[in-house]
Amino acid sequence: MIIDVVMPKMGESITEGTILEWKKRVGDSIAMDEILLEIGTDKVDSEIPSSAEGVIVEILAKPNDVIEVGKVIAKIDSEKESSKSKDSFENIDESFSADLSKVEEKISINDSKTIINQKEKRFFSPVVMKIVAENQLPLSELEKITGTGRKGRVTKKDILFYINEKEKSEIVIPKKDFGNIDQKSQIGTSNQEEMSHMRQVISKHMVESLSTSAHVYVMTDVDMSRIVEFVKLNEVSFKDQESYNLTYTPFVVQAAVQALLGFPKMNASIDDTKIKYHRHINIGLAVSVDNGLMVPSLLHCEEKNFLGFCRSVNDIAKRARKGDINPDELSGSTFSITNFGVFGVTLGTPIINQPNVGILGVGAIKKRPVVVEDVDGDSIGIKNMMMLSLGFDHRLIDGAEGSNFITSVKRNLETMSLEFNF
Amino acid sequence: MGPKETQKILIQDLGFKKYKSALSLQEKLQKQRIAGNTPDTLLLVEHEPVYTLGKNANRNHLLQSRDKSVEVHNIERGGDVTFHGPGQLVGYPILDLTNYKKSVSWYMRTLEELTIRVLKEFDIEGNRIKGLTGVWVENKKIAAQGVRISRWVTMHGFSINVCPQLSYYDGIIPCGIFNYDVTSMEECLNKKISIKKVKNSISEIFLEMFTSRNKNG
Repeated sequence: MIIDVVMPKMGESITEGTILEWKKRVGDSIAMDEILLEIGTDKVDSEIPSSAEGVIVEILAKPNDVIEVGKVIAKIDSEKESSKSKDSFENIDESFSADLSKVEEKISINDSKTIINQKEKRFFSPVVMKIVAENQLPLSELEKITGTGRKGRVTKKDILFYINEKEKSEIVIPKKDFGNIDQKSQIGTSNQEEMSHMRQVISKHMVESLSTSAHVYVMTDVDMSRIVEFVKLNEVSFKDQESYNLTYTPFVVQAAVQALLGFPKMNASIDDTKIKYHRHINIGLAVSVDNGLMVPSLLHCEEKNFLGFCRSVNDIAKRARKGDINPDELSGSTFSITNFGVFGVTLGTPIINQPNVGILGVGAIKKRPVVVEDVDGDSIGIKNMMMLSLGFDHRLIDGAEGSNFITSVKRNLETMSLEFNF
Repeated sequence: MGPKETQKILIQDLGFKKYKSALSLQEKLQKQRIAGNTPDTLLLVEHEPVYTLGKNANRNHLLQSRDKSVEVHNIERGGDVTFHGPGQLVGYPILDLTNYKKSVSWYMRTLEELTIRVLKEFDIEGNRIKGLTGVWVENKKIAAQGVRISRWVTMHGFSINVCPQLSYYDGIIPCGIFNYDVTSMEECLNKKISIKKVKNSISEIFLEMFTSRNKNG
């Protein structure tokens, strides 16, 4: 008789359990009360003893599977003692064997043990069972075969035909479970590893942001020629004075902060149906670090001058790479900037850093031929051009406002007063 | 053993004990309890600093930044990673739940009730958070629980932060819960608390609660 082992109910209001470990494998014999598996519920791990004696013919759930209470997780054949005796039955003709046996539906034993579910069982001859065993066919599949023998019994011919057909179809159709590890050979996974803690956090944040904000993008190009010229002229004296390099990031930060002062909505957050306007401008700066990304904030940017931006950008990037950022600095941003241009790319579409409503993507500065308009007429000139992209949350900001904001950043960069003393 | 004796609960104060030796004592007592050779027992103990990981714990919740001198044990109990150390009172009830109620949810909620009642004696208001196991004081976790059951006999149990050095928790994401901080009775009351008083209070309330709920009692 085949006995179903179901996920036991470990207490009131407990509706499911997690399989932790099977103590037995298919083909193993098990005694009454012997530990069959371990399950986890809430914060309790429990050993589950078997409620029947026999041989385990099927295991239907893997470790880490979360299974509803009452669902079948394994099958035990209570009549099968071991596979040794089958040879002696080999030559018995099928027609001599007994009829279908019917037994009562459900017997529930002690709730700590598994509930057994004895159901109608079809008869299979020893010859058929031998073929099934040799081909490692699960019993559930055997039960589905329509027999052509007396009273619908599965004959040797039926089973051989089924196995033959199954093999043929397996060559053509790949297995159904695409998530299964069996697919490994086709994808060619060479190894697998657990994501680092940081990777998991990034992964979670990105998906959450995409499902929270209605992301839209506008882009524009900026003539950076004046700033490039300025950096060339001043980088040596700057380094002498500050002992780190003058980069383009502080220029972009300053231009964005100026623009934000005129667009308070871009420096806000959405809280349900409320718009929260932030008093301070805290710029989250995406910094790539070993194996990941951090977005520490430059706090109170509205109070800083250009040199202040240079110093805080340098300080925070350096500390982020050293892993020396405190948790307070990782939160509290009101708008974010990511400069992927340092990796040479022209344009990108960054994901909003929640709970911000905007993120500015900065591309690489590249020399390009552009049309220069002059009083003498149009001509083609070589200019240092940079693409800016603005990702914003359409729930709060419409295209016109987003476009005006990015144009404001562009104008601030192109007309920035470059009278700094280094 | 007659029915009278089964209601007896033995409380043993182990004082300071290494995690490993307390674990083997629990395992021994659980086996004896299953065999019916020992009464229900509550062990009370403090440990040297140690991080323990349950069977389905995520190793990433043990952070690289942790104090590497603290021992790490992989153990067979429910739950994720946690910390034990001086100033934290740990209780290991070895109970045969067939004498009470065969329900792990009943047992976990009863342990929470125990902690809440102990905290109340010290004027601290502990709460449950729906969907999570343990006891919180204003969104900060003060007591943790993790249990293993074999043939309805329990081991492992609960821990209450009386006055541990809370910085040890910075080395882990306790129980895999990101959003909640950890606190202690000392931090809540802003004054020194005697572990002994907490032990007495736990013993008293534990006896009262479990004796009255014993089916044979």
